[in-house]
Order: sequence, then structure tokens, then C-alpha cells
Amino acid sequence: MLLGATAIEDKLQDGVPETIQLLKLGNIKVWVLTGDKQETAMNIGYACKLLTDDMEILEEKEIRSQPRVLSPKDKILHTGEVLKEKGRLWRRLACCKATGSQDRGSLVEKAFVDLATSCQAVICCRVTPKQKALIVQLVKKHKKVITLAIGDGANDVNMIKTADIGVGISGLEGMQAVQCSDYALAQFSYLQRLLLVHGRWAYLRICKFLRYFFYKTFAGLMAQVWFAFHSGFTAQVRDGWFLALYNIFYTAYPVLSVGLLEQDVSAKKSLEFPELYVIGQQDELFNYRIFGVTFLHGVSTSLASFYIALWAFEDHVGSKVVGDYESFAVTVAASSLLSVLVEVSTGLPFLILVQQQMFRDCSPGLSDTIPSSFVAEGRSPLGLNALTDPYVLLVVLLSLVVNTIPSLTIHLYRGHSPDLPISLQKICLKAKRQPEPSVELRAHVPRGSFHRHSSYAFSHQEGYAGLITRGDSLRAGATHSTTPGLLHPEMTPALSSLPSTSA
Amino acid sequence: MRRERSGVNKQYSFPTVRTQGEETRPSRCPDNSAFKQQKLPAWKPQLSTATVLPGFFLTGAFCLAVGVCLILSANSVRDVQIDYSDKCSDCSKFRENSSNWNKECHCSVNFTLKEDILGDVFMYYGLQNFYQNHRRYVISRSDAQLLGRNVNSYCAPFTAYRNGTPMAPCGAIANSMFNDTIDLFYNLNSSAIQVPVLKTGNSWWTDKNVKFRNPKSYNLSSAFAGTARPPYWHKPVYLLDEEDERNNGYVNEDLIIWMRVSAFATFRNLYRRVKRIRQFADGLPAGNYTFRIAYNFPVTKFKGRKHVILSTVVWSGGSNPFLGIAYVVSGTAATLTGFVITAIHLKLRKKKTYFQK
Repeated sequence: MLLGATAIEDKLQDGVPETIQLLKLGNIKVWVLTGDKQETAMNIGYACKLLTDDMEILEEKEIRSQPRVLSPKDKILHTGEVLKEKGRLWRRLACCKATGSQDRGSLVEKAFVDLATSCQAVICCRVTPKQKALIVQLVKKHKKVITLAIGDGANDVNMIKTADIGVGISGLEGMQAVQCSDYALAQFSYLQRLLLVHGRWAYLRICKFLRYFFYKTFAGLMAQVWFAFHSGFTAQVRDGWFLALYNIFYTAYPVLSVGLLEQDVSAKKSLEFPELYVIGQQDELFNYRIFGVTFLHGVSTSLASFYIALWAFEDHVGSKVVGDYESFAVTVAASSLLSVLVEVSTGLPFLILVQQQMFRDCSPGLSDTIPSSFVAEGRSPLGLNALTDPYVLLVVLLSLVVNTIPSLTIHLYRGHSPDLPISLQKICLKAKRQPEPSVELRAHVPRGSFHRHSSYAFSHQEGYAGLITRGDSLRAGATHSTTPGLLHPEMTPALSSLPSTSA
Repeated sequence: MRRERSGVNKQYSFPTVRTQGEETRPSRCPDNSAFKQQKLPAWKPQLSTATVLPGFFLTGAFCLAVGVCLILSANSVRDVQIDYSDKCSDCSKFRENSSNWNKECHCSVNFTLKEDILGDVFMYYGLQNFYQNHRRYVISRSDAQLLGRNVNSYCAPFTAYRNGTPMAPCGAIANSMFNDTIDLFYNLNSSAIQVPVLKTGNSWWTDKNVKFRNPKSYNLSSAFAGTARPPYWHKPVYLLDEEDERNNGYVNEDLIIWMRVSAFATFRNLYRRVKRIRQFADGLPAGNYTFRIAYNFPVTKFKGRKHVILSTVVWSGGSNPFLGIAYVVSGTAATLTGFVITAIHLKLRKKKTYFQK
């Protein structure tokens, strides 16, 4: 007679299944390293949708007992290739206490890491804190990936410190995880915002900032080099104050606001389309090719600004002498500065009017910013003379046109707006047409099994638990059938491959 | 809404949120301002084909129009350019010998105007292969000294003589000032009339009135007492123009124009303007003219050449047609690109509809 039952509940936090789904869609592999025993860990895996019923589960015994594990790594890789080719066939790898045995050799390590990364999800159970750190190290050693470790207890400290990014959840288990981490969150589900919104924006901002910074530097200052060809490799065409103020003041605002405030899609859309995260993983926004393109673009802008002014001024005859050294410098400076500002601004969201005012103030008032003490010392306000000559203004305008029309053409030719890479638009469009299936805890009946996994695990020894869940009377004969949620270590664990015979 | 966290673990300084109808905001949240929540209103220019194509055509049309205007105005400029370092070859050879520095050498160059030059006519001297943009040359001046103070800087080696007398003005730029004298004569009925010219009003107003000032004293020669002329000059600075006191000393316009160094190795500087009086009221009539040049400036050592240019001026400068041609070319390119993009756009659109059917 059953007198009573006690149960201890360790509930999952809110939003964990959704978060894990989103991370998986963002091409982030999720591994669970826990100190619990295997059945608990697997049930948690089912509860948080890390594992689904249509996954094929590889347990540690299978790998260890199969001879192919111990053979050289190409067999494992071959198996891994086969796994990948099967497409929707997903596998889960469970290993208990087996982390010690994998240190037998780095060959075996590599085989293990290859197999594990070809699986969709990995759960390691019965892992001590030191082994958590060792697993992270293992992955970092054999694969060129970025690892992120998230945990909330003192036993996660090692793992958090070893991984590239450590995230601590401040919660019921104390603040040790938070204190040693790079980022601290309050709930696990905030991880999706951290990665998919803020992480992605940070990557985008840094890449765009770098591109624009290199572009404006090359475009504005290569004119020195070109002028050297015409002055016996001695002189410089730039006024000292212009050089100093170019980066600090004239081009600071657009480039800084790109680096601080740029968003390509809103936060809501970033969470709807986690596939956008793949762009950062594949280094698409700043690599050698993009740097080369930026360099060439900057150089061509500076060439156009310099040589248009040079050829227009040669033998320039005017009522005021405008072919002189300082006027030429002012003209070249104005044309390259304006081209840079227009170029950077075409990819820049125009923020509210206050900031627009600041943007207007950045226009080349070379004379206006020079204090009157300069005039007293003998420098004439160059801007007033040179930049009010209609010929000079036409030269600046032509440089602007010549510099911006080609880049506009290229952007139009690619058919998209200047900052989003092509894959991004395609992803957005494709995803709009096929809405993502929402993550629901719905009953899913795969072929071969009509069992439904619950998130409850019986941690008692085998015995009467099977009888209870089966619903049979205690006197019925025990058949070796699988029951939902219960995994004996001795039974073969590949659930979907066993015929189900229970009622 | 968050679950209420039980108050079991009291050792955290963890702000709690109550959900029973009462919202007490935790104190660690950032402000709900647009800036801190990264929700600033923004407008991104959508560079789609429909919005940018009109821009292409507009730009193309504008550039074509401006280019045509510029070409037309450049073509309307009349100019006469004469290289006189070739024609005055005996004077050039004479000047190669530096011991002839204080001897004069004169040269005459004849030319004919077939048509009148109407309007304001400007006379320039041009130099070729003279690198006024060399760095050591450009910094070899003292702006403070040219303001009338007694300071020398960066003028080495043209700062002072060996006996300590400072040079006025110091520096290599002033020292190498162009000192040919060019006069224009009109041959009318076998008599030569000197064309009246204006020596002043040729430089920038700010240069003449702000940047160059004579030192103050009761007369100009005493203001420069204790200084000497630069070594290549014939006269001291206070004798540059003895007729006009306002064009003498540092504010001499020839000096000012020369001190405004050119950016290129081939350049021209304004020298004189034709004064429109008497028979030159409309400009220069057609006929025979002669330049009488006092040849002082040696150019053969660095294979330079000298020119004298007579030219009219339009709003867009001189006879350099480059800018007009460049505008026409870019206007054509922009328009052509616009057409090409339109064609591609239409073809792609047709392809899309075909496949959708």
C-alpha cells in the first residue's frame, strides 16, 4: 500500500526551451555539462527541448563498446560524415564519467570532439567541475570555435573561466559564478538577447566602424602621397590644423555614431531571425577581402579628389590667384572630406534632429574653426578666399560626384542597401515566406514510439517504479519493455529503435 | 511578469519585484530613455532602385549642363602665351654668369594680335619647372617679420649676413623673387605707345592689408634701418616701388604675389592689368605689339622657362578646359549608368514575373 510519495522539484527557468531553440537556429551548438546522473540529465534534456523524440541517441556505452571508437580517427570521421549526410537524423551523445577515459590520447580526443560536434546536442553527466573546464578546453583545442560557458553555481566557475566568454547567472546558488564571469545575467533566457541582439549588434558596429575608419583615413590622407610625386617628394599638401582636426572633429561624428548606435535590424527582428547570427560566425563583415576593398575605395577617392583639383588648377588663371599652394590644399581637403562624409552617411541612419545639427556643423568650415589669433599671426582665412570662388566650388562638386556615383552604382547593382550583406537579405526574405514553427511543448509522436517523455525522473533504483508508471498491477509479470521516462543503465538505451510493446 | 522570488536567500542584495498589481521597478534597470534602450528614432535611406535612379539622371543632366557652360566659357577666353626665355637666348646666356648680376640685359619680343581682345586684359608671367612647392622652400619664410616685427624663424640660410645684418625680408622665397620687368608696347603707325598698366589691386585683400605690414616708423627707409636686402635682390625692400608709398616695403604687390607660393612646378602669377584708358578703353586693339623685358631672373640652371601671358578672364577662370570636359564626361557616365541600371532592373523584373507565372 502506498502511503505517500515525496518529490523534490528543481524546475527549469522560464524560457529555457525557447532560448535553446533560438540558439540552435543561430548555428550555436549547445552542450549540457551537469553533475547529475544520466537519467536526470536526459530528462532535463527532453524537458528543455535540447533533445527531441526524433533524435537518435548515442550513449557512452555504445561508443565505448563499439570497436570503432578505439580505432583511428578516420573511422569516426567516416561515421560522422555518414551522420551528417543523413540530414535530419539527429543524434545525441551521452557520456557519463567517461571523460577520464577520453584522455587516452589526443587522437581519441580529436575523434571524440569530431563526433560530438557532428551531433546536434551533447549532454555530459556526472561531470566534476574540473572536468567541465577540461571539456571546454578540449573543444577549444581541437576546433577553431568560440566557446561560451554559462552557469550559475560554484561548480561552474572553472568552466566559466576557461571558456572564451563566461556568463554567470546570478541566482539561487550564490554569486560565485557571477563574480568570475564576463557577463552576468539574471535568467538563462536573457542569453538569447545577449547573443542574438547585443552580441550581433556589437559585431556589426565594430566591423562597420573599422571599415569606415580605414576608408576615411585612406581617402583623406593619401593625398599627401600623391602630392609628393609633384613636389619632389618633399612637401605636404595638408595644413597642420586640418591634419589634427580631421580625425578628431571633422569626421568623428558619423563614424562614431556608426560605432555606437548602428542597428541593421531591430531587436525584435534579431530575435525572430536567429539565422542572422551566422554572419558573425563566418567572419563575413570584416575580413581580408573587405579590408582590401576598403583600401582600394579609399585610395580611389583620394586619387579622384587630388587629380581633379590638380588638372583643374593647372595654369589656372583668375582674377584672384587661386592656383596657389594653400588654395589647392583647401580644395583637395574639402573635396575629400565631403566625399568621405557623404559616403559614410549613405549607410548611416540619420538620427534625430539634434544630432543632425551636429552633422551639419562638421562641414568644412576650415576658416571658421581657426581662431582669430591665427589671422593676427599672419595666416589668412583660406576658406573665405578659396571656397567662395565658383570655380573651386565646381571642382569640389565634381570630386564629390565622381566619388559617390560609382559606389552608389555598385550598391544598386548588388540590389541591396549598402550595409547588409546579400545573405542577410535573402535570409530575411526567405524567412518571411516560411514562418518558423513556434516552439511549443506539444505532443510529438514519432514513428516507432508513441511514448511521451516527461521531465520527471525517478531516481530510485529500479524496482517498482516501472510498475507504477506502466499502470499495471503489482502482480503483473514484468516484461522488458521500455517505459517512458525511465532508463535503466542496463537496458539498451536507443529508445526509438526498440519496438514498443507496453500497453 | 516575473515570478516572485522567495525571500529564502536573504544574503543577496537582490531587488525584488512584486507582481500583485504593484510595480516597483528594480533600481538597477537602466532608464527607459530612448538613448539607453537603444530605440532612438532613426531613418535609414533606403537605396532602392526607384529612389536612386532619378538621382542618377538628375546628376547626369546637371553635370552635362555645367560642363557645357564651362567649355563654352573656357573657349571664350582669349589668351596669348609667349615663351621668352627661348627668344631672349643671349640674355639667358648672359645671366648664366653670375658675375654679370649688376649689369642690365634687355630683350624685345614681338607678336601680333589679329583680333581685338575685348574686356579686362591681365598680364601674367609664367614659370616652368620651378618647384615652389618644395618643402624646405615653402617653410623658408618669416610671417612675423612680414608683419613688421623683428623676428626671424626658419629662414636659414637666408637669415642674416655674416656680419650680423639681418635680411629683410628673410627666407628663400623672398630671396628668389621674380625680378624681370616686362613692359608692353603697342606699335601704332611706327611709334610705340606703352600700354598703361595697373600695378596694384592684383593681390588678395587679406594679404595686402592683414598679412603683410610694414614696420612702423616716420619713414620707410628708417623703418628698415639696420637690415639689408636679400642677396639676390638688386634693391632693398623699401625701394621696391618708389612712386607709390602704399606699394612699397613689405606690402609691395609683386612681393606679396610671389610670396603666395604656387602648388605646382608650372605656374603663372598675375603681374599687371591693362588700364582701360585712351585707345585701350575696350581692351587691346588688334595690331603689332612688343614686349620689352629687362631680363634678370635666370632660369637656365634648372632648365626652367619663362613665359609672358596676356589673357582675359571669365567667371570660371581661364582657358583650361579640363573641368568642363570632366563634367561632360561624368554627366555622360552618370546618365549611361542610369540607363544601364534601368535596363537591368526592367529585365530582372520581367524575369521574376515570368517565373512566378
